Amino acid sequence: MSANNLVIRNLHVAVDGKEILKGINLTIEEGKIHAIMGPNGSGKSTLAYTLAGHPRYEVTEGEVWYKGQDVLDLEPNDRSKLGLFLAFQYPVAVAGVTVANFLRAALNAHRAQEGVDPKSTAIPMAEYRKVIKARMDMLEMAPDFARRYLNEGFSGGEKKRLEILQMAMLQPAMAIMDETDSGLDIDALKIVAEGVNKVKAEKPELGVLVITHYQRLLNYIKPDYVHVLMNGQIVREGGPDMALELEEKGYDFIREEVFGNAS
Amino acid sequence: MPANLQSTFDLAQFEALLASRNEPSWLTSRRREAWEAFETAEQPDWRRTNLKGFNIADYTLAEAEVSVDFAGAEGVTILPLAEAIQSHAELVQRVLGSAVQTSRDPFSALNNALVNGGIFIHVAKDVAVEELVRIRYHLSNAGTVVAPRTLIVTERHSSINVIEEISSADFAGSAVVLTGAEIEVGDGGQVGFSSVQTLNSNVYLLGSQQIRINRDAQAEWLNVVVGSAVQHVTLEANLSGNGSSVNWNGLLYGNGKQNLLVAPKLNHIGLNTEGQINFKTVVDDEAYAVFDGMVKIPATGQGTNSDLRENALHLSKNSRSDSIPGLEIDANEVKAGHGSTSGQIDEEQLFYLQSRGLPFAEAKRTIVLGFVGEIIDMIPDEAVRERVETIVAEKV
Repeated sequence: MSANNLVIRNLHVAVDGKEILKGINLTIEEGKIHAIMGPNGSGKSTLAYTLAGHPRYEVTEGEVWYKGQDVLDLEPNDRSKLGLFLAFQYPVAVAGVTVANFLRAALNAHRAQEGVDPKSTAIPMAEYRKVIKARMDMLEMAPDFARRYLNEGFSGGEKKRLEILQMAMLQPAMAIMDETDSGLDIDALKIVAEGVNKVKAEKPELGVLVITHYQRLLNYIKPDYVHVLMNGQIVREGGPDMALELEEKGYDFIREEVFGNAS
Repeated sequence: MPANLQSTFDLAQFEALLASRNEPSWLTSRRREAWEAFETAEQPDWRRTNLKGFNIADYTLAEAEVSVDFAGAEGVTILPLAEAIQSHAELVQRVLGSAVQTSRDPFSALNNALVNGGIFIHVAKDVAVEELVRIRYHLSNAGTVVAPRTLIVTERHSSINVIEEISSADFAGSAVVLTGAEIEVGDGGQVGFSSVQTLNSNVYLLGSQQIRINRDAQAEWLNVVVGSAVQHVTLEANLSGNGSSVNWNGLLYGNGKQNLLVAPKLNHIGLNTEGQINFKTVVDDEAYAVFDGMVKIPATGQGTNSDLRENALHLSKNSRSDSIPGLEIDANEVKAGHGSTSGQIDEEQLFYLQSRGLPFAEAKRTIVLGFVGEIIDMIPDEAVRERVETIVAEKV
C-alpha cells in the first residue's frame, strides 16, 4: 500500500466530551476522488477538522497515517506542509490581512526548511506575482481580489473560490473539501467544481476527499468511491452509483438497514 | 500644593520665565492663573492612570525639538507658536486653551503655564492644501518636561492635512511631555489630523486634544499611541456646526508595563451631524490600556448619526484593558450605535492560518498585525508609518 494514501484507522473523536466519530476506518487513495456523504450530524465536518488538526476535536483513539507518519502527532501547519489541505465549509475572515500577503506567507511557510534562513527560501516577489496571477486567471478571479482582506465581506461564492485559490497555490497532495457546495447557487457551484477539476487535472496524483450532504456536487466532481457516514461510522461503501441511489432514496433506507429503524 | 506636584522652579523663577518671554499681557496673565491653579490643585483622582512614583519636581523645563516639513503654499501660514502669539494674537487667544483647560486637572494647568515650542497653522478661506504638513516634536533628554502645542485654524471652504508625531530618543531615565492640539475647522472645510505617539517606554505623556468642527465641515482624526510609560490624554471632537462630521480612528498598543489611556468625547452639538469612532486596543505582557469614551447628543443635536466601535485584543494573561463606551442622548431623532469587544485572539482565525502552513507564532503575529494594520495603514506619512510598524513589529 502506498505511503501516499491517507489511512484512517479506528478513529474516535470527541467534541466537548461527547463522542462524535466512533471508529472510522477509511483509506483515501493517491490520485483518487473519494466522496463522503452523510446526513446532518453524522460527523462529516468533525472528520474534516480532525484530519486538519483543529484543537477543539479530541482524538480519543485511532491513528491517521500519511507519508509514513501519524499525522495526529503533527501541528496543523506541519500537516499542511506534509501536503494535506482542508477547504473549509466556513472560511474564516481575518481583518487587515490581504489575500496576497497571506498566500505569500503560506507559500513561504511551505518552502521554509528547518535551520535555513527563511529569507533564502522565500519566493521572490516577482515570481510570486506571476504565480498568483496565473492561478487567479485560471480560476477567473478579478485582480482586486488579491488586495482584499481575507474573507472579510466576501460572498459565499467568493469564500469558496478563495479556498480553491489557496489549494491551487499550495499544491497539496491530499485535499479535503468540507461541504464546499454549501451555500452556493448552481453557477457558483460549477465554478468552484471546475476549479477543483483544473487543479486535479494539473496534478493527477492529487487525492481528494469530497465531503457533502447532497449528491449534486458529485455531478461536477466525479468520485471514484462513495462512503456513507452515519452516526460516526462508515456504514456503506460503493462506487459513483451509490451517490445517485442516495439522492433518489434519501438516507433513511440505509439507516433502517443499519440501525433497524428510521429514527 | 500637594507634595508630589512641587516643581523645581518656584514662583520667582516662573516670573523670571514670564519676563524673558516678552509676551502680550493676556497670555502672561493666563499663564499666571494657570500656575496658580497648578500650585493650589489637588492631586487628580485618576483611577486608571498610574502615577505612582511620578513627581513633577524631578523634571526641569526644556523645549522639544520641533521640525516642520512643508514646502509652503499660497494662503497657508505655518509659524512657531511664539511668533504666532505676536502676529496672530486674536486667533491664538481664541483657540489656545480650548483643549488644554486649566480647570481640568493640575497637569493641564501646568501645561498652560508652561506651553512653549509649538506650531501654529492657519489656512485662508477657499485654499485647498495638497501637501501633507509634517510636524515632529522630539524629546532628546531624560529629566526634562516639555510642553509643545499644535494650533490649527482653517477658514471657510479650505482644507489641510496635518500629521503630528511626538517622539523621543531612546534614553533610560524618564521625562514628561505635556501635550495639546487645538484645532478649528472652518465652515465647509476639511481637516485631517493625525497624532502619532512613539515615545520611549520611560516617558510620561499628559495632555488634551480638541477639534471644533463648524458648519458642513469635516474632520478626519487619527490617534495612534504605541509609546510612553504612561499616557493620559483627553480627546474631544465638537461637532458644533450643523451638518458637520468626523471620522475618528485610533490605536493603542501597550506591552511591558505601559499604561495607556485615551478619553475620547464626541459632542453632537449641531443639527444633522455625523460621527464615527473606531478605536482598537492591543495589550500584552502587563500592559493596561483604557478607552474612556463618551458620545453626547444634547437636545440641539437632532438628526445625529453616531457610531462608536472599540475592539480590544488581549495577548497575555496579565494584560488588562478597560472600555467605557458612554452614551448620553437628550435628542429624540437620532441614530446612535455602539459596540465594544474584548478578548483573546480568535481560535478559529489561528487554526485557519495554521491550516495553511503558518506556524502558531506566525499565525498569531499575522492576526495581530492585521488587527492593528487597518489603523496603521491610515497614517498618511510613510516615514512615520514605518516607525510605528517597526515599534509594533518589536512588540508582537
